[in-house]
Amino acid sequence: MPPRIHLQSFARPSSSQSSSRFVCVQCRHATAAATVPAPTESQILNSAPSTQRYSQITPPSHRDPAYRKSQLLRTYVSLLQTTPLIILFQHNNLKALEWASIRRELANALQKVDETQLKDRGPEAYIPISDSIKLTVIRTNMFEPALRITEYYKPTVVKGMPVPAQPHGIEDERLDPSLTHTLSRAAHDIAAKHRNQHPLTPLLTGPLAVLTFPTVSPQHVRAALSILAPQAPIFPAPTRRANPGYHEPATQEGLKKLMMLGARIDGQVFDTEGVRWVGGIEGGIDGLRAQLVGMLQGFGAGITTTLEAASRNLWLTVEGRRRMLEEQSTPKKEEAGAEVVGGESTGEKAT
Amino acid sequence: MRTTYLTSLRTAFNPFSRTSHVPRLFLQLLPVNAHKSIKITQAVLPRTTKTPATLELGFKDGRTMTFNWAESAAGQGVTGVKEKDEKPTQLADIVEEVERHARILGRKEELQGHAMLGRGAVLLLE
Repeated sequence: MPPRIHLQSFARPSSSQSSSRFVCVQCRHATAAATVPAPTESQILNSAPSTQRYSQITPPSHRDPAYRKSQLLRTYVSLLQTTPLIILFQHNNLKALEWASIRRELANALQKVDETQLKDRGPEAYIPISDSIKLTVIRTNMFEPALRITEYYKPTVVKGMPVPAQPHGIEDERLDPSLTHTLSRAAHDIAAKHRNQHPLTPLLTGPLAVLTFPTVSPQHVRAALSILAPQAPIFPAPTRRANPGYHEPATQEGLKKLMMLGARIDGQVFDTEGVRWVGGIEGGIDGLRAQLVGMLQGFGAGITTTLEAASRNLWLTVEGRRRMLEEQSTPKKEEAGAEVVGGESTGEKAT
Repeated sequence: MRTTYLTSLRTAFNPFSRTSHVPRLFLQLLPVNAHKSIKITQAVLPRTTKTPATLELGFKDGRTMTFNWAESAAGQGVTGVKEKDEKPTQLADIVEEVERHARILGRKEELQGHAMLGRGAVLLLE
């Protein structure tokens, strides 16, 4: 298929038509209106090793950026980098009406969570995220390399900093080490080395849809799971009376064909039980933090008590003996026959 | 794949294992309104499970087909058990089986239908 993106909007260097890159028959007919912008005066005068010889918009890429696949790859890498919580679903031949119904119910449920949070915490403390939570069907064969690039390609070259000049020059502009974008040769080479290594790879076959959250919010996860993968008692589906739209035939039929597979949360891989655990966290992330603080404080008190116990016991024993001796000496002075039992008899022995 | 003669489908798999590949793709091959005519039960097993992936198909004439995919000891590849074979069952094999059975049942129905028609024709002539 010819590329969908109009090439006139890009300024591409003429070297993109080089014979070293394979171009399929359809693509060969797609011509590029390519002109390289002339170097500016500062570029001519200050010839730094990393001269900007190509356009910022379309730097040389391993994959031709004119194709939908390449743009999808960029989209998915951006998605994976910006959404810390992604839940993966398998979708089996859902109709458009079923998709629309499910998305409508999901949006309503997430909206309710936002309203509750805004009411509790106020608009200054809380940013609503339900608009940014999307259930997207993805192209699995492009999502898989996008995941590899996100996980394993961490470029050390910082944009804008000068790159040391190559002693013998570079034979191809695509091998320029200053290129660190998603479609660059460097990204491709690193990602290619790590095939089949990520634990999420077996999930990435067949038809997939992802539910993406811009922040890790257990309340929103709980609402989403109550709609998409309900399970009593923690994730109950809405009742017919409360939400008649949920029990429409379109929604119900669509939900039968959706299957939750797993999730990627903060780079960690979770299965369905893990997702339910995250959704079941009471009070959200703040609640979790409060629980952690409480636990640490309690832990500190326990440690102190244990460490002090030895010296405290010793003190108690000595104190008890001292008092006993005092009491023994005072009856002798008073010539009283009353036997005084050490009230502070120590039951504890110094360990 | 002709699924008109399928009445029930039961599957359970661990999506984090390569053994889930075939059952998942089989689910995708079902038609859009499959849930209306076929009783489908699908279960996603936890990540640490040792249970093999299973797929059970039930047909209108009572025939059932069961497929298992157990993970091999080495953890690489898949060893499936299909009756007496030791090779893992591929999706194409299952599709072929379903199609073949559908053809047999279709032929039976057609013959019965023609037999009915034949009797009716005889009655008319009389």
